This record gives sequence, structure tokens and C-alpha cells, in this order.
Amino acid sequence: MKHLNTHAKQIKTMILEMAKGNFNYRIPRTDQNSETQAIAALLNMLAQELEVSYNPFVFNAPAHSIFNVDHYLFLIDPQHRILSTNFDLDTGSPLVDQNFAHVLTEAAQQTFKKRLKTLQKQHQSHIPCKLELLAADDLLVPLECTLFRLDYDAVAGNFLVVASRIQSHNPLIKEDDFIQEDYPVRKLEVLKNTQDIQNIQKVKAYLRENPEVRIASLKLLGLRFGLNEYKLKKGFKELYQTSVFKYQLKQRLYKARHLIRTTTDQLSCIAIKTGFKSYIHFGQVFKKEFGVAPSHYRKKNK
Amino acid sequence: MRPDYENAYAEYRIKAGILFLYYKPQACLTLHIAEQVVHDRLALQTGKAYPVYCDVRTIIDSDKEARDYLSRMGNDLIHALAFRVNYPVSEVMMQFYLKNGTGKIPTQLVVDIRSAYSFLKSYSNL
Repeated sequence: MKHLNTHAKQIKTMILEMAKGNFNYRIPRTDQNSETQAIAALLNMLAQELEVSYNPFVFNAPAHSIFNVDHYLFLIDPQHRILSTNFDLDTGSPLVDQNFAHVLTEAAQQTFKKRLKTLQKQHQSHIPCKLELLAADDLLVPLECTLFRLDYDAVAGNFLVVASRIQSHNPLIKEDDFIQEDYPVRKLEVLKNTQDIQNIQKVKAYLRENPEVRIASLKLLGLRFGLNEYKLKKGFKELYQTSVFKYQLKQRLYKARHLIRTTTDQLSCIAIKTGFKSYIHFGQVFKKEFGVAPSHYRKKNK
Repeated sequence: MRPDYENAYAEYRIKAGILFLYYKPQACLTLHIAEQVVHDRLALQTGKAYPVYCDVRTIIDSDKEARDYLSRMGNDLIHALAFRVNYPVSEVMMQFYLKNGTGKIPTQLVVDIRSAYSFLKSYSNL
């Protein structure tokens, strides 16, 4: 019962924090196959989704483009006592003078010790690691960190931990996000190995994330991703049943449609922003794709 | 039965035109693990598409980056997907994952191997 109450408290805290717009917390998970663990899993995943998409100005941006980076610094002495930090997660007590281990989960403490040992053993200046920090009500904040060994006279022997929270665009408008492939797929003839397939996947990701970029030629685009022109042209078609240029055009149109819906930018500006040479051309292809002119689409969606 | 291939994160077996993929116990499915699992699956398939039975019961938690990667890049060369799940944890995690869909790939959550077979067998001769 006590166990259930603890979970209930964590879940309530997490929901209240999310209601405030704070999506940094996570509920600690176990391998228990229970209803409360199922709810914890769902809430953690929901928080992750909302963390990257709760943005009123979100548009059809690249899935992994960074739009915000927060850094938290911990200056710690050789005994791992916190000398200074800008980290504050409403734990109720000041973190200065506490042992750094007190703000870490048990697993993160082990990771931290191991990485610190490696840092000292290998005489490196810094080393990356992922740490889960404890916040109020035993919730977790997973952060990418870098541990620095400080060798300057005044602070020799101390360590600096830089923890970063990176937010990226991830619009939840999935219908805009990728072209649906026509399955079943055929046996691949042009793409002979996994490396080729992965290179084509990289091209697709690049086009999705940079639809406005002008492709000078398939040859140059292929060079960038380790593919010759033939392999890029035929391989892309083979894997995604569309050409490189058609795929890019669709991505441009999806981005333009989203900008029309969510901004007050002039339509001619949107055309340029999304890589179209002229508003007339943009208007024609937009109407062909969505059945209405951009201006009508904006009116309809006001 | 010995797998046809295994790495640190999963075992792969191809039998009766179906690719069986068993995740090894994972505290958290990270982007690195997802990339490795997809990379090795594609390498094993050598350009041929299969219906895939994917046992995810051992996955306790997952990163958003890993889920995004799998939904965008993890479905190439797959005719159909049967996810083997347990009620309630892995089932609800997969329901959440599938809210974004897997493209047009026919997908089902199954709780036993027989249901998986009956769903996947029609795709095994494509």
C-alpha cells in the first residue's frame, strides 16, 4: 500500500508539473509488470513528447534541429562536495555544500564514479556521460553531462560538471512529416548493401530537415552522402517510390502549408522561405497538391 | 534454437519467410541501440523484405530519440509487423509508440506466437 501511495504521489506531482509546462521530470521505472508501471511508462513518454513539441510557434521544422539549450553547472571539490551550482529544481534545500552524489540516482552515482575514474586514469581533460538527477518527490531529470577536470592553480583538484538540456523541434503533425511508402516493397536491385541504404536514408532525412535548400545537382548531393548520381537517383526511387526532387517538393509544400496555418507571414515570403523561386510557381504547385490556392487555404484556416 | 545472428541488443532468426527479432532485456532502449538493431536487421536481410515478428516484452523503458528513429527509419524492408507484448507495460508502451503509425505497414500487437503467425503468414510470400 505504501508502495502504491509513493507511486500515486509521484504521478500526481508529475501531472501537476506538466500542467505548469514543466516536462523535465520522469518517474523512476522498474521492471515490474504492473498497472502503475504502465501508467509511469506512459507519463514518461508523454512528457518526452510534450517537452519537444510544446511550443506555440512550432512549425514543420526538422525533427532534430535544436532550438534551446540549457546548461547547468556544478563546481565540485575532490570529495565531490558542491561548491557552486546554478541547478535548482525546487528540492527545498540548497545544493551548495551537499555531496554531488545526493542529487544523483543510484545508477547515476555508479556512472558518475566510473566516468570520474576513467577521467583520472586516462588523463583526459573532460569526458561525456548521461546522468539522471533527482528532483522533488523522487522524480528524475535525465541530462547529458560533461565532466571536466580542473587543473588551474586556484581550483586544482576540483571538477566541473556541465549538464545540458537540449530541446529540439518535433512537430506532432505526423501527416506532414513523411511520404507514405507504397508497400509491399520489392527486392532491392540498385542498393546492394546496408551502407547504401543508410546513405539513402540520410539523404531523405537531410531533405526533410532542409526542404528549402536548393539542390544544385544530384551529383553534388550524392557526393555529400557517399553516393554516385546513379545510385542516388535510382536507389532513392527504389526505396521510397518517389524521386529526390518530388520528395523535396512535398516537404517544401508541407512546411509552407504549416507556415500559412500558424504564422501571419506574407504568402510571398513563405514561398521564398520554403525554397520556391516565385510566388506564382508556389501557388500553382500548392493548388495542385492541396486543391486550394494558398490564400484560400489561409482564409479557411483562420 | 540458435539465432541466425545476434548482437548485444537483439537476436535475429529467419524462419518460414518471417524474420523473428527478439530484443534482449533493456533497461532503456536508446538511440544507439535502435540504430544498431536496425543496421543489423538490414544487413541480415540483404535487400529482401520480410514480415517481422518483433518481441519487445523485455524493453522496460525507451528514449524519445530511439522511438522517433524507429518510426522514421526502422520500417524499411518490412512487409508487416507483429509486436509481441505483455499486458500491461509493454502493451501500453507499444500503443503509445504506434500512435504515430509505422507508415502503411500493416501492424498488430500480439500476445502469443500463434496470433503472430496467422497475421504474418499471408505476407511471407510477397
